[in-house]
Amino acid sequence: MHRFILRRLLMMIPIIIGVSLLIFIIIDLVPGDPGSNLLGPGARQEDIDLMNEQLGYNYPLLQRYGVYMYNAVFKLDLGKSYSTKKPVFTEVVNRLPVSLTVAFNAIMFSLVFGVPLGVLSAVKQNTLFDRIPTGLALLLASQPAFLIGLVLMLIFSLHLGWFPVTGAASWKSYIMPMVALGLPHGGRQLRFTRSSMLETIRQDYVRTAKAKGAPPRRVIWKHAMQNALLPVITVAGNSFGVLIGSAIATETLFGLPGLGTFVVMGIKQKDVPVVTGGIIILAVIFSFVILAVDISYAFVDPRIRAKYSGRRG
Amino acid sequence: MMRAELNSEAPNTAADILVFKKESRWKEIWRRLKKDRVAMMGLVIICAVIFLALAANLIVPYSTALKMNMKLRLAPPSAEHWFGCDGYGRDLLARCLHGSRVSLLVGFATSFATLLAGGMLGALVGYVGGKLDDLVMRALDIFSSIPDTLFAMAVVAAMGPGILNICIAISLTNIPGFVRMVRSSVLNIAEQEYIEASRAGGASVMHILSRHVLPNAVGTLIVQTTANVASMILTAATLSFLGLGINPPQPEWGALVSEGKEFLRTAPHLILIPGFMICAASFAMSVLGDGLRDALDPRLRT
Repeated sequence: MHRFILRRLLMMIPIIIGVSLLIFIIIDLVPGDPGSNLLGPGARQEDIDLMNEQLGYNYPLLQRYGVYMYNAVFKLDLGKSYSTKKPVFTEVVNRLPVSLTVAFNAIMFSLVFGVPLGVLSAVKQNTLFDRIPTGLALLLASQPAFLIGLVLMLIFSLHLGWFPVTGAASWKSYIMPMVALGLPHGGRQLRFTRSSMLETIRQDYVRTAKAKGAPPRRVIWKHAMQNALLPVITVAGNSFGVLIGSAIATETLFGLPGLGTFVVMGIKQKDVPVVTGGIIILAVIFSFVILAVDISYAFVDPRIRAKYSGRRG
Repeated sequence: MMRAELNSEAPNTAADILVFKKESRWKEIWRRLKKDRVAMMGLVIICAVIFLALAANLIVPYSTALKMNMKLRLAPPSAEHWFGCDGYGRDLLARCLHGSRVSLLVGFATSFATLLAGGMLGALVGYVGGKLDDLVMRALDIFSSIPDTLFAMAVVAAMGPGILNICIAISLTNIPGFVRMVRSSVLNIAEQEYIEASRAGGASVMHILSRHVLPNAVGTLIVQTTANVASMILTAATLSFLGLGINPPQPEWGALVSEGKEFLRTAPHLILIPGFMICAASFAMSVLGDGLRDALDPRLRT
């Protein structure tokens, strides 16, 4: 088990290097140089050249990447924003809690209604208790989060006045983003829980449990549920990536000062340090979520545990 | 069940097999699909949307979608303008129709590109295995560690907005997952005895891949591609909503919602109508994908 965790942790190093290098290369294609962007249109060419020289812009790509990563890891420095001239790192740190709150709330919300309804529809397969939730789930999963957000805004902010339209003034501002993000996500969660549960119900050991006369409730909660929920964890983790995507749109819509809004603004203003820093940080967080999912999966699944405890790495 | 048993009566000659496969397999699938009312509803919706998108120029010329008329600013739906008018007095029906061309084009083109590139790469690494497999899969691990929309945003940031660029961006983000899926399905098929028999008979890798492996994986490919269209329509809409999709004033569903959001209070139809079209298209493709999955492999029916 320790071996597994250690190995998985070591695998993070090449992944993080690869991810950051890939993003660095892509963003490097954005036209323009940092000197003229930082100094503005009125600057003299000599000043621009000097600035580029100081920032190390004239070095080859890989060398610049090395310097960038060195500064990021050891000095917590992701460069300065072209437009605000503020350090990107502080901005990211300030915005991170907002994004994490939005994502965490949405995942919890989606699990709270997705998993139980998924189990229900699997157990009551082909009845109304199955058809209505699954139909609804598919409908929800076909909505972009920003659209649900807009409809919520229309009803609950503009007509009923219960929640503020935009901003992050109080906890109330986080309710609608949570629902907007959580509903489509919960729809996907429901569908997955259902199919995983259906698969488990058909397994031999579930039939055995039924045959030996275990009460149905016990068969479902004890025998089937525990195994059916394992893949659900993985999906919850992997779909975190989809969630980040829709979270960016949701944050922008509700004007929440999160990382998503930061990156979108950066792209629109061609603010290279903001875009590189923001995307790399989000991607690294995402890899850590996947790591956490993998490890927790190994903890709860005896099969994986057995695979790694018996033999070497 | 009866049908499945009938199918297991193996025909004798190669010609028989060919006829047998071509005739009945797809008919059989179509027969099962036709019974699935929800999937058929999806098929009808998506065909209608595609038809409207193709016929957009015949219904209203593209210039109507761009023509501004401040007198009609935010006009509600009426007999003359069925969907009302937007913040510049442009006819929303025309914009939705012409917008659907872009949205559907992006959805289908990216899925098709993913199918081609991801399918070939997945089949190759799955079948060849070994070092190539290791190398490609590690590279894909890195790719898929970047959330899809984020990666697409980075690509759009680098190349600028525009239909071709979002198509490239969205396809790139979806290829890793597709490769993985095809690979595992090919790994499954490659273990079967008929593949071994073919290899023992001296068939080349390309022959085995194209004649045996791919035809057997085709079901998975179709289902996944259909589901991909649904999710890519959503991704494209999200990118456009963020202003990272197409170049204004060109209409696109996500961009229409984004333009409409400023008038949420006064003219909610500006977001509700294009929003409804996004959902309808994506929903239709999803139910069609589900139906196809069940029709292609009734054993998996859930």
